[in-house]
Amino acid sequence: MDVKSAFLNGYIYEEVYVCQPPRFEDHKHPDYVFKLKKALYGLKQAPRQWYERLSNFLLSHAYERGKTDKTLFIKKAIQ
Amino acid sequence: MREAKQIRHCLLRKQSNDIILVQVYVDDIIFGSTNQNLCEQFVAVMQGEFEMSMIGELHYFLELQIKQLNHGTFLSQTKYCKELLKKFDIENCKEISTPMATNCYLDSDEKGTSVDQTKYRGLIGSLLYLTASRPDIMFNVYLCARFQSNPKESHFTAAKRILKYLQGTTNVGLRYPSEVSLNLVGYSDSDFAGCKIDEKSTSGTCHLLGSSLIS
Repeated sequence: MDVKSAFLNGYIYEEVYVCQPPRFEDHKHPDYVFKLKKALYGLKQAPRQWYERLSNFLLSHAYERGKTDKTLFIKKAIQ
Repeated sequence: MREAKQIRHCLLRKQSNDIILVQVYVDDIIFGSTNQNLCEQFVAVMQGEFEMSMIGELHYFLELQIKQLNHGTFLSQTKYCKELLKKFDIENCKEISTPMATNCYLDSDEKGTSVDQTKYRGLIGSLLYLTASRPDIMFNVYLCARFQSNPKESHFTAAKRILKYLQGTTNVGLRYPSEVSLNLVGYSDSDFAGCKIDEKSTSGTCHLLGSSLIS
């Protein structure tokens, strides 16, 4: 399966600000900048935050992270 | 009553042996399980959290073509290999049955004419990725890779010979039969100070689980 716009899923904890994008300006405060809550493509934090979000999600669903291959997740069914 | 209990216990134990494996590559996820239910659960859970598309059975992942047949799985990079030959304009060349001549001896060749380093590195990089499913060219690619800092005509000729060998063997790949033999066998070989430049030894290893190559 393929995650759509994967990097937009990551949450960002550092303070990163962006200019108001064209056609999305705030008319009341045109001189304000936006603070990012989630990652954007091109940010150097983006890949790391995406991995963090995905791995935390899988780990919370009882998946185990591979010991050498950190992108392999294993779940053993216990019922 | 007792019989029913035993059957239930058996089912439970069978289910507890099930396992699901999930492999992530940035936004591409492949997964497999011994139990179809686990796969369906995984898809449902993931689609609840992220926006994603299901592509179905695994055929192609990171330039690896995967064929799942009744008697096993076959991995190859045929498409990648053909594109590689096209990229280096070597599509219509003569096929050669070996990747390197037996009397081939490469040294730093200080007096030889230099070739385009970027092109040489590009060729080596592309061949390195191909070794994922082609251990037969591994030694030759690594040998050519040693001269990347100062590639000469002789090194480029040797690297192009690997391409000529690939021309006739684009369909070759790795086969993983579904028979369950867990017999782990390791092989290694080395020559003693075989390199004539600095008298270093070359060694290589491979491991087979049953009849499948795993490292």
